[in-house]
Amino acid sequence: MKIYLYGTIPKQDAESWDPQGLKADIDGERAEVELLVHQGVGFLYSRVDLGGKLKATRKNVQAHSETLGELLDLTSTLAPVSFGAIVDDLKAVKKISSENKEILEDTLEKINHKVEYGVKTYWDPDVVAREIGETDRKVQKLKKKVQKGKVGDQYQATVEVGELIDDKIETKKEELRNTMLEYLTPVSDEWTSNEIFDERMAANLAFLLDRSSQDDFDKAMESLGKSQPGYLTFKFSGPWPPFNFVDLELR
Amino acid sequence: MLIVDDLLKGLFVDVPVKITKEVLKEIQRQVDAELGNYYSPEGVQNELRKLQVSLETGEISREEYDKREEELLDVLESLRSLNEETQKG
Repeated sequence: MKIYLYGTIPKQDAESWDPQGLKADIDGERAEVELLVHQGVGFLYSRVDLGGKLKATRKNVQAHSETLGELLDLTSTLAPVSFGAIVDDLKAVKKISSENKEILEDTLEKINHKVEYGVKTYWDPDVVAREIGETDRKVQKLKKKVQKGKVGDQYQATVEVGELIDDKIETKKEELRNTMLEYLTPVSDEWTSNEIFDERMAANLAFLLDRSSQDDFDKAMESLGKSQPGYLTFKFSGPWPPFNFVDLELR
Repeated sequence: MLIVDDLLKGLFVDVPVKITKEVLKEIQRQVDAELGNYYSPEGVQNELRKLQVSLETGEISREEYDKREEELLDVLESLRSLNEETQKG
């Protein structure tokens, strides 16, 4: 049996810990969530008997997230560890605890009573490029050059149009991010921008907020959605344990 | 190669709007994906993230996602084993 870790909780949560029959799903197996308190920090874990490696499939990651969501309801503060943190035994957990005591305490203090929300914005890059092509004068001028110019000029103009559209798309992303921040920073404590790894993605932000601000964040998100054009799709998720605001490298 | 053909056609029919750096990168990505050319674990991981976007934007179903994910994870595992063996050998 190995130890599958979910995260750490502060002393006060550990003292009143009640799993309320919670069963986690790990690679299709049901497992109890248990608590180990060591040097004033609580470690939430399950005992697992995995045949092979635990794959980071959507199903497994989603099951992990769901368990964390339920643990978030049972605690006031939860510092998560990434999906798939497995150690040999409880002795290893105690070793981690001893060697990282200060960073664990600092982290729990920093995120005390806080949760994370993620906001991703998607768009159709063709629609955005077309809109720029139809409304931007510089682009329109170059387009005419492409259509009517000499062959050599056409090529040059085509490259210029492409670069210009790329620049305009980047500007649009920046403007969108600023608008999102205008709505969402007054109702949150911190924010961070995650990588935009797909051309269909226009923004990828995460916000840290106090649990008491959740309703305000919901309302701000609704106002933001209403204020924006229809070609933007906002994917709003949370509350999550603060993954993006915890930098725990436990060894 | 249907998707790639469509994209290439788009380049010449609707040149001013279509030829952006992003589109060129996308063509390269799709050619690699269609030919199964995943040169590195990072390339496969990138493909997995794009698949996630396709699921979130509703372009593919969960079933389609799970099927493709399984294929990509197998490729990833093979690449990692290969890398380990190369490093050992």
